[in-house]
Amino acid sequence: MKKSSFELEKHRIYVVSLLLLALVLVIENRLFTLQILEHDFLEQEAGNRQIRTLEIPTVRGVIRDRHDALLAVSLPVNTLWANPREVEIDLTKLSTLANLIEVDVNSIVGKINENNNREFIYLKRHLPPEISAEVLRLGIPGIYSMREYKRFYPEGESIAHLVGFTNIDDHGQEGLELAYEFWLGSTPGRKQVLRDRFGRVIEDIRLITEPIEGNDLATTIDLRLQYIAYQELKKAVYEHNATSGSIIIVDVESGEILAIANQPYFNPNNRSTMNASDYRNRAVADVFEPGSAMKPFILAAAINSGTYDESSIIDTNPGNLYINGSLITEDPLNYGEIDFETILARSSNVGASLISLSLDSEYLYQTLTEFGFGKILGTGIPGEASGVLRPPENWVSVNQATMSYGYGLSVTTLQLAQAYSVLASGGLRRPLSIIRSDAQLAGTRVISEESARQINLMLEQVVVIGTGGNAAVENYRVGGKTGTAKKALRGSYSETNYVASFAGFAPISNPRFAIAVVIDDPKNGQYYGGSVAAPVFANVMSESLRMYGVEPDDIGINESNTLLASLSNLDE
Amino acid sequence: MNAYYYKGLTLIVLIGIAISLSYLSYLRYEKRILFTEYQNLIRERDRLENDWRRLLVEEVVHKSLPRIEVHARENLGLINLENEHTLLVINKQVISK
Repeated sequence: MKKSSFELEKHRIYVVSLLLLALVLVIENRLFTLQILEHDFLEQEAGNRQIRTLEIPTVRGVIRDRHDALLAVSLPVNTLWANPREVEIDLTKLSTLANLIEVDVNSIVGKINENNNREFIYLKRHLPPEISAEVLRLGIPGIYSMREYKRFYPEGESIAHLVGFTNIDDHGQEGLELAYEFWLGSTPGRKQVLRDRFGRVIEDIRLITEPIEGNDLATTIDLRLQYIAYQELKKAVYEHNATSGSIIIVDVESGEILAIANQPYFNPNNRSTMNASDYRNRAVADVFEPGSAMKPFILAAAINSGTYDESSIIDTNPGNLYINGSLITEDPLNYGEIDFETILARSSNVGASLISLSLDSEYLYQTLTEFGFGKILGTGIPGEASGVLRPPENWVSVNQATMSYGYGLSVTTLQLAQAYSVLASGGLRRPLSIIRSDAQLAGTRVISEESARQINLMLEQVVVIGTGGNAAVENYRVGGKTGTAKKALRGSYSETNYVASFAGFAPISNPRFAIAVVIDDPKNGQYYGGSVAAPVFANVMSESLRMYGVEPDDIGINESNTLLASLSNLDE
Repeated sequence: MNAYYYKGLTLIVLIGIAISLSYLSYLRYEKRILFTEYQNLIRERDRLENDWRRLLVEEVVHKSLPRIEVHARENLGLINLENEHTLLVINKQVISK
């Protein structure tokens, strides 16, 4: 019994050993097949059925005007890419593809062969969806399409300087697109997926990062005014053969910028023809000496100081001004004893200089700074220049005289618009803004309401009887000031190159819009602010008032245009 | 007694495994179907987005101000009102007050 049980056990050991041996052989055989015989096939299979990381495309925020019209929008486009490891070089199919995407077939083949150790190359970016669909229908292995977005600017050149543009990867490069990249920009998400051997995604494995969409940006621009301002400016710059020009329309009641346009222009939808110097938003970035457009602020400071009032008389005899024996400035003719109104209307440099010289320099500097000169206004428009307003410690009397008629300091078109809107709003400075906001910003008082009222009435006379006649708008009372400044070229003032400007507002009884127009270097004979810039102002102002339905404050009532009627029933 | 007890337990566990296995494969199947559906919906969304953005551009082109201006001036013959086209109507009663 004992023996047989031992025999049985021995027998069992043999059986088990044999079974184990057989198992080892089977496994080894399988290993041999997998590792050596079928290795290549299996590796390819694994490659085809793989885990991949894919990008989840997201869309950049749109930019809108104040009535939600589109200024910049991202449109879906398809980008064709290839995995050079998977592409079969089939010349007939590849040349059909090359025709569709308008690329030379040899360059495609070359690109694929060059990069055969990589898994991703672009074939062609930003194709219309129809074309990429047609390419995919060719069924070339290793060629895929992915979704991207391309920026489109519906308004094109008219607002290009403000909006700017993005690069091919949809990141802001200029203008608002650059300044508000943090707000508009989107971050694509990433996910891991399982793909089959046809490259189709068969399963989402996990989300690596969540996609973040860009936010929309609402500006204060009114496209209708922008269009008119841009057209009028372009016409004037062309007509007068000027180097450049800028125009800004400000809503006096809120400080919102309704239009901002420049010349020369560029087309943001066609990057190939763009010229870097055309991108610049000159209205905020370029500084110039304002010339006589500066005078109202010197006079405003004078009246606000209490030393002068509207009836003060300045003796400009003999029509020129000497300081320390050298001639500083002279008027075209000797105006004699004149009041403030005439100084502005006739644009008397001597008169303005005498007033400026009589003021305390610290006070004058303070007031001009509060009008917005010599500092960055912080509107949110990128590239704002501060201009130059030297502190009073550095002034000598010559400076204090010349700055009264706009030399020896520099300003931007934006600062002119800001300063004139201060006068228009009765002495309150409301910070200019370009981004729409519900928060009503309280104004800061620069000069008293009464001082502003007096200056505004004088500015009206500039248009009625003075140098600004071309700025007149039918049915409305308009006020403003011309500026014609010689350009400083190579250290001295040119006698042939000028900056012509006009800035003002309307209607005087309750100003609604302030507009600043600057035309740089008009070369067709006319160069006065009153003849080059004022007509642009008048046309733009007239259209703006009409579009906003602003009530006229200067309708001449006479028998030929008036009908007296009994309208009592209509009242109810 | 004990043996029966363990055999019974094993059987129950095996049946449990079998049920959960078949349920698992059912869920995998369900997941595949839902995933395909999801993919189709994504494609549909992309297609609609294409359409929507294309229509957006179309709208922008149609309402572009230069186009409206040309249409208004040339086809409809609209003009800006000048003073000679305007007749002021003044209420007598307002004046008499």
